[in-house]
Formats: sequence, C-alpha cells, structure tokens
Amino acid sequence: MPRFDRLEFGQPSPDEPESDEPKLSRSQDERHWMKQADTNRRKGQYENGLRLYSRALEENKAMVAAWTGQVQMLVLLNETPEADLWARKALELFAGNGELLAARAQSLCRLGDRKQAMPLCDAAMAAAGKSAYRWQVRGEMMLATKQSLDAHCFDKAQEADRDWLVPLESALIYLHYGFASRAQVRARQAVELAPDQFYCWYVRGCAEAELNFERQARESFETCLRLCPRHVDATAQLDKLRGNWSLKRTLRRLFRRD
Amino acid sequence: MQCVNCQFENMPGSPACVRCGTSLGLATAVISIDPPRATRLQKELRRWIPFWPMYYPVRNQLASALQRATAVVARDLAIHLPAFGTWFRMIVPGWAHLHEGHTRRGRGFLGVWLAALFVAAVSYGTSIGAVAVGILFATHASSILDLLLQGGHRTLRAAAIATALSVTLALVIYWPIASTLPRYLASRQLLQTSPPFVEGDVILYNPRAFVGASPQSGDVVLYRNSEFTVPTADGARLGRPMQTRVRGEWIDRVIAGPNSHVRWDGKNFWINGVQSSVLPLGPNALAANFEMEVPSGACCIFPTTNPYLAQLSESAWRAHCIVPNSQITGKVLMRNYPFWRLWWAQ
Repeated sequence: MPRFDRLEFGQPSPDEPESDEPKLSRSQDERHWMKQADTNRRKGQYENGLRLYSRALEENKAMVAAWTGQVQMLVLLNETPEADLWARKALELFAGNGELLAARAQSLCRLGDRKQAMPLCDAAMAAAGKSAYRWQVRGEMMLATKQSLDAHCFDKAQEADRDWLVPLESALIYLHYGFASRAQVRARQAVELAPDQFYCWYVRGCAEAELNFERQARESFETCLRLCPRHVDATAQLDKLRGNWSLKRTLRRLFRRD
Repeated sequence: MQCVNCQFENMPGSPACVRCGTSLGLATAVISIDPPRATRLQKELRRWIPFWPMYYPVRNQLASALQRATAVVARDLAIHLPAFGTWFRMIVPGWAHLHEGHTRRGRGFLGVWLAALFVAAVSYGTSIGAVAVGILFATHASSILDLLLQGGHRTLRAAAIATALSVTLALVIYWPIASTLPRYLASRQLLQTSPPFVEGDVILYNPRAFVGASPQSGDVVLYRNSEFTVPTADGARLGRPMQTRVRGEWIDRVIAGPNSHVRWDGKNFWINGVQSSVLPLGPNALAANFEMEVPSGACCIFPTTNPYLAQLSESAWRAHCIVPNSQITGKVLMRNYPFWRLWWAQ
C-alpha cells in the first residue's frame, strides 16, 4: 500500500512549536478545583467551597458533582431559597439526575414544602446509581416529617460511603433540626473516623454545647483549637461557654426535645 | 451529538440526551455558573421573620382546605372543579382559560375585558363608564362560569350557580374596589361652562390629598365658595329686581399658602417678595394689580373660573380669594372626559 506509506500516526508535527511548560489537561484542572472545594468543605468553609465549585464549573459545565456541590453549599450556608432556585436550574440541564433531585428535595424540605420534597426524594432514590447523599436527604426527610426511620437512613448513608464527612454532615442535619443528642452521636462517629480533623471536633463541641454538656464541649473546642489554633468559631464558642449562668440555656435544657 | 454527561451518541438535532436527559446544548450554551446569593439584609430578615418555613405549610393547608370545601359544593352542584392553580388565575378573565389550554376562549374573554377596562378608565365618572364597568363584571362572571359549567347542566341549576357566583364575585372583588376607589379617586361632572372647562366635562380629584397636609402653591383644587348673591341677569325682564344666590364647587389653582403676602403686578405674582410662576386657570380675569395677606388656616385662590364673581365689587371679590382649608374638597388630578380634551392638572 504505497499511498499510505507517508501517513504519520501519534507523532507531533515538526511545524508545531514545542512548549516547555507542562500542560495541565482540562480534566486535571477541573479535578483540581473540585479537590480544593472538597477540602474547604471538610473544613466547614462553605463560602470558599461554593466559590471553588463555581471555578470547577467554569472549566467544565457538565460536572454534575459541581452543580450538586453548589446547591449543598447554599443549603449549608442557610441560603435555602437560593439553593432551591439553583437546584431547579441545574435540573433543567441534567433532568432526572439523582444527586440534583436529592439536593432539590433537601432545599425544599428546609423551606418547609415537604409535600413537594417527598416525591423528589423518592425520585432521587429511584434514579440510577447510589450515593450517601441521597440517603442523607432521605434521613432528613424522615426527620422533618417526624418519622422514626432517620437513623436507619443515616446508617445506610454511612454504609454507602465510609468517609468521615458523611456522619459529620448527618450531625449537621440533626443540629439544624434541633436534635442535639443524635447529632452528638454522629459527630462522635466522625471524630472516631478522623480524630485529626478539627471541624469534626468543632461540630461535636457544638452538639455538646447544645446539650449543655459544658465540660465535654469545652474539651472538644479546645481540641479543635489545638488542631487549628486560629479557628474563630471555636474560640467564640469557648468564650460563650466561659460566660456566666444563662437563663436561656437553663430553659433550653429543661424543655429540649431529646 | 455526544452527551457531555454520559457520552451517549444521540441523533443530531436532539435537544436532550435520550439516555440521561442532559441538555445537549450544554457544551456550547452560555450558562451562568454563579449561583444567586442572599444579601446580608435578606439573611437577617429570614432569621428574624421565618417566612419560608411558614409559607409552604400554610399554602398547602389552605390549598387542601379550599379543595375540601369546594369539593363538597362541586359534588352537590355537579360542577367541573378546576385545579388549585386555576383558582387564583380567575382574578383576571381569560387567564385561567389560557392556563388550562383554552387559548381562543381565553384570548376572547381577556380581550373583551381589557377593552371594557380601557373604556371604563377613560370614561370614569360618566354613564358610559358605568356601562363599561357592568360589561367588565359580566365578562368576568361569564369567564368563570365558562370554566365551571363545562358539560350539560339543567337551566335552573346553571342559573343558581350563576347567581351564587355573581354575588360572590361582586362581594369579593368588585364591591371592595368600588367602595375603596372613590375615596382616593372621585369624579365630578361639571354642570356649567366656565373656561377652561365646558359643561359636561368630567374631572377626577383625590378627596384625601389634603388629609394631614395643607394645599401647596400650584395645586389645582376643587373648593366650595362662600355663598353670595348677585343680581339676576334677566331679572329686569320680570319688572322687579331679582337676586341669584351663588354657591357650589369651583376649580382653580392655589396661588399661595397660609401666612403669605401676595402681590399681583399685572404680569406676575410675588409671594412674600419672591416672584412666582404660578398662575390661576383664568389669568385674564384678574384686576390690574393688588396686594393681599393670606391668614393662617386658609389659602389664596383667585376664583377666575367663577363667572358670577366678576359682577361683585373689587373688595367683595378679594374677600372671596381667601378660601379656608375646610372648604377645599380635594386635589384635582385630571380632566378625563371627553378623552380628546384630556388635561392633566399640573
């Protein structure tokens, strides 16, 4: 086949100038931003996390994980109406995506529209694939509708993903709904999985402070500060604990839910 | 066309991936990737006023209560009960039809209603306006009935439904508007020609414009004059002198407020020594020059649109220029009828 003899495969053209800089591929780049976002999320720095998820989306708009991450960050930042709006927009692009359906269900649940959130949560569970987040949202739905299956759902979430972030975010969900003792259990599990992570200690401290376990809370916040000496929130919580007797705290202890 | 999410090869021209549903325009589309953010004020407001946690439960409760209540009526009267989303759209005739997909009828009702609304607005305060309001109401009631009475109904039952619906509509929407609107936007039809107005003109005024505030220089107001008498024009024909008692409401511009010194030099007004560009509605009726003081609780209005005052002596005429605030009926906004002589009171 003489006419194909001069074809070249897989070799650079001699006309192309060779660059000395190492090229960062497109996929590596977006993965880098996603990793950064995840790191910030694990530190409880949700503003930064949100910004970095947006940065990842700048690189690749088809990253469903980044869209989901943005909605999750908005929910964790208590900007629930915005989270709902954003989840709706993401679902227009990725119709029927399980993670996004779960994210929309979570934002609607926090807005109080449980009637609409429940079918979305069901659809998320029925969608292809499995993830800890969907079980977490399921657990949140159970919690919000005062059904007793929340612990089971959060356990399933932990089974789906052994990461310490799962029990930690379950603890945050419990704290959001005011179930401090259940939050403490989950936060303790997170601490056991990652004792070197200051944010786990911080969340555990928050749960203990809610329960008025002052000594344990102080210890948790002090550990958090030992791991991250400039943690502003832990310092503030410690200062609050060192304050005087509070009527509000006493009343909350008397009338708390669990 | 390959899906950016699942890499499935779709048919060219497909709007979304047939496997995962992802938009296929995603790779090329210009999409904002910055999410909306709550401002600090919004966050504070949400913290102090928990609107959202209350909104959805209350809305869902109301929707189900309404559904339950109307279901009973619907079952008994055998009427077609529209969905909840249609109910609040019934506030505008045709909107609910468009929502339900009855486009032609929806446009018809909406068109007739908007036309009647236009006629009612431009002829507000006249008999034509009253007829237009009637058409507005009839169109509205018909549009709702059209939605409710789908399918065959016996005449008596349909009449009962129509009556109940008309009464409800009148009580819920039209009567509150009809009782509230004239408090802020009243009309007067002029009975006598007094330039620049002609008999039959309709003016709109705000009766509450001066509640808690006094008239300002330049405001065109509707006011009552102090009663006076003038010789009757054709009294001599009857062989004995006759007098006409003049009382009523007139329209003119406020020249100066209380505690002011007003001077007219034949061309301009000087209020407290400062030249003013404000002129009464009929400046030709003014005398050559004069000065006057406006006491407190009153304002200075030269009655240039009142033709009877021209027959009075100058001192009597000047006494009528001081109008107590209690005699001012309201602030004139516009002449709306006839609409080809539309005039904004500025």
